[in-house]
Amino acid sequence: MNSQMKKTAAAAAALLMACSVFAGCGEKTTDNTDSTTTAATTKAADASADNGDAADDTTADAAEADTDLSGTIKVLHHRTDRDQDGTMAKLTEGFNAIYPNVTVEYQSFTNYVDDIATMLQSDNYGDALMTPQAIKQAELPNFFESFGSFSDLDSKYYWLKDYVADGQVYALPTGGTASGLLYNKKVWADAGITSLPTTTDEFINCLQQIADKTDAIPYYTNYAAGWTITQWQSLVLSAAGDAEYNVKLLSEKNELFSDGSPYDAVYGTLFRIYSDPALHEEDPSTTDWEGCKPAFAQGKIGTMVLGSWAISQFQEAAVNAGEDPANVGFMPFPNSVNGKLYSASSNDYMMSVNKNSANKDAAMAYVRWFCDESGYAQNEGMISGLKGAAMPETLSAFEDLGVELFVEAAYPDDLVGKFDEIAKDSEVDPWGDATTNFKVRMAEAAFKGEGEDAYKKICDDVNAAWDASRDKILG
Amino acid sequence: MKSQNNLLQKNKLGRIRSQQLLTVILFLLVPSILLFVFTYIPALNMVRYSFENRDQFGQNVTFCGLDNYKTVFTTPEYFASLKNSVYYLVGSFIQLGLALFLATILCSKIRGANFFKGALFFPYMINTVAVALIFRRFFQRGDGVTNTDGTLNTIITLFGGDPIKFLSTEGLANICLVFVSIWRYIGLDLVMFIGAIQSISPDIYEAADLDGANRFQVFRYIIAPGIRPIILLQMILAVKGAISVYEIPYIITGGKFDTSTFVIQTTETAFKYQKVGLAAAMTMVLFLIIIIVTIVQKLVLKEDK
Repeated sequence: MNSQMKKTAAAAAALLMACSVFAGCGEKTTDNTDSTTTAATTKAADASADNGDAADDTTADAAEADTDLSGTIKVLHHRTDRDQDGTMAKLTEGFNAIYPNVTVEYQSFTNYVDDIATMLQSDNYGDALMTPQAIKQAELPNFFESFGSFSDLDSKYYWLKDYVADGQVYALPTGGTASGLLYNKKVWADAGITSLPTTTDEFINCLQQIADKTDAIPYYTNYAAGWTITQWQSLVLSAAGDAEYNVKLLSEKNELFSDGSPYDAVYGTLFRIYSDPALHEEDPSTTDWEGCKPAFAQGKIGTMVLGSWAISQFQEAAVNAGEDPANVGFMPFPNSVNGKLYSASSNDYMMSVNKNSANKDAAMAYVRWFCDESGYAQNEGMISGLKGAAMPETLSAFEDLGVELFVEAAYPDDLVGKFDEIAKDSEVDPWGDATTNFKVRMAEAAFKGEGEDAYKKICDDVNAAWDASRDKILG
Repeated sequence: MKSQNNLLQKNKLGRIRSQQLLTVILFLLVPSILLFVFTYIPALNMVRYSFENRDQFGQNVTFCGLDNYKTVFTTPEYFASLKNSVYYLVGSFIQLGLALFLATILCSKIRGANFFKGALFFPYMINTVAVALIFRRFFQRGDGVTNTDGTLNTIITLFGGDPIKFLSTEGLANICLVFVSIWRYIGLDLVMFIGAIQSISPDIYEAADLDGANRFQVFRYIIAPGIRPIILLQMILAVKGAISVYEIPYIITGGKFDTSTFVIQTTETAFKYQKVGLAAAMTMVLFLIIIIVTIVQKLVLKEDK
């Protein structure tokens, strides 16, 4: 009897284990969070209840608030830091002032790109989310809900062109960033540099001067972090000074690398800096992204290629390190075209609505509100996605320098999505950082001191691979 | 009366047997389901993917026959990183030799043998990411401005040497990574060898002692033949490990400075170039290489037996 009970118990235990395994599986898809904050709407709900009791007092509020929309929406995003410091919860309060019956939940991921890619394999990727860049343009309608036609929205927002499929817009910009270089004003002044460079040769001379006259590292590659090298790619369009550059690249079948081409100007500069041990840090394999922020503030680093999105982070680091945040300077890529410097602006994360969402209207309202009214871009020092909004203070120096800020032109219909297609097919992948990427190959050839010939060889390889894929895809 | 008793007994036996069967099935259900869900089904899917043109999200999948395999075999760049496996192969044989040596010593009567067993096995229990972070710091070459020299360079300068850029010098970077790999995995080899050596009957050692055999002779004629199957197994695993090495170089150098491996390239093909079909084909090729190497190794080693 006893042994029989034991066996029954064992069988039950086995069954229980089997069940718990599956329970675990089911939960994993939804609970795999780094941090979750639920900003409850109880406060707002209370307020609306009060409104009912004393309708006369609060007619103004009631007129503004939209009580028709209700439900719970989940917003997936990449700003774990903003979840933790309560910024997101504060944003919700602003949203609930207009839509009191919508409950907003946030789920943020430290490794957003990879985690969201996994979630996209199911239907369960939140109601609103930061648009994953890996999705091909033509496939956007398979994942997201349209915000309206491109012809209507283009006059209102920047940077929509990469998120349009069949004339419909599938993502709105949360903010944007200007391309350029971060430099420490004090270090540059200490080296005796009085005016910012306007050509790449002058730029290298400036770095040389910093190496000669100060103890600072003239250029910090931040190479170990991997993604940092992709920042150089954002300079290419600025170096071209032409909003149509990428369109022409495809329609006129230009080479990426030819003498003096924008790619050559940008990556030739990279190669020259990386080739000279005096101009960059001693060991690029052990650099430290978080550690470079205070080091930059303390005047140990002269220059870095980073978008304007980095300015506020470095200013914060300067304040934390007890240094003057005003030393964080931002300059355009020094490659003047017809005597003028350019900086291309591009979007930060866009925001989309899951087409499988049960609360599409509420999610739509949230995304529109987030991009139009939340003030998120301003708070982060980013350029607002709304056309005609004021430039952030972080870019005030650009106006003094007479830098022309511009936005990349949209591709004609027959070329939409082709750039990415060629980029991946040829494995040239200008925005990538794989170990076989041409940027990584150039950097390492430079670190080894292989000289101009190695650079030329890599350029030729890139051109050959690009041309082959372009001709295959565009015909 | 008696026959009824027998029948009851039989019934009871039958019941117990069917209960046993049920228990066995239920217990096996858990691991088998896990095995199928997380190993066999994904593996079979991967075989299917290798014949398809597909990206990370599985949209617009098209069947492309053997195209992916053709691409893999006609692009020598995909195999370039296999040369780094040679470093790991050499390293893993050094590791096996060292583990065998240490296991033999630790199985003799020495003081503190258990402590050393624990100490040598410990690295195997540390998370690989932690190991990678430890060694990144260990091999660091500081620039004296934003960061300082790591442990190894500090010691070198203490003795008046010039600091070395361990992780960004071609070749040396791979040797450093192999060293980390040996440090991390030697514990497992050691435990396997100790287990095998201890399973040899003590009578044989006693007889050898009486015959006046020295330590080397004991190793050569008793231990080595006694644990031969384990040595062969570890050698096959070493080759497999050397060809498919991934996490240590991926975390420490990210595959930069010529430390990329075939598996790193496969993941990059899948998730950076978005060619999941091609990456699946690369994985199948790796699988075939490992099978061939294992068969060849078995045949060769059988002959000299």
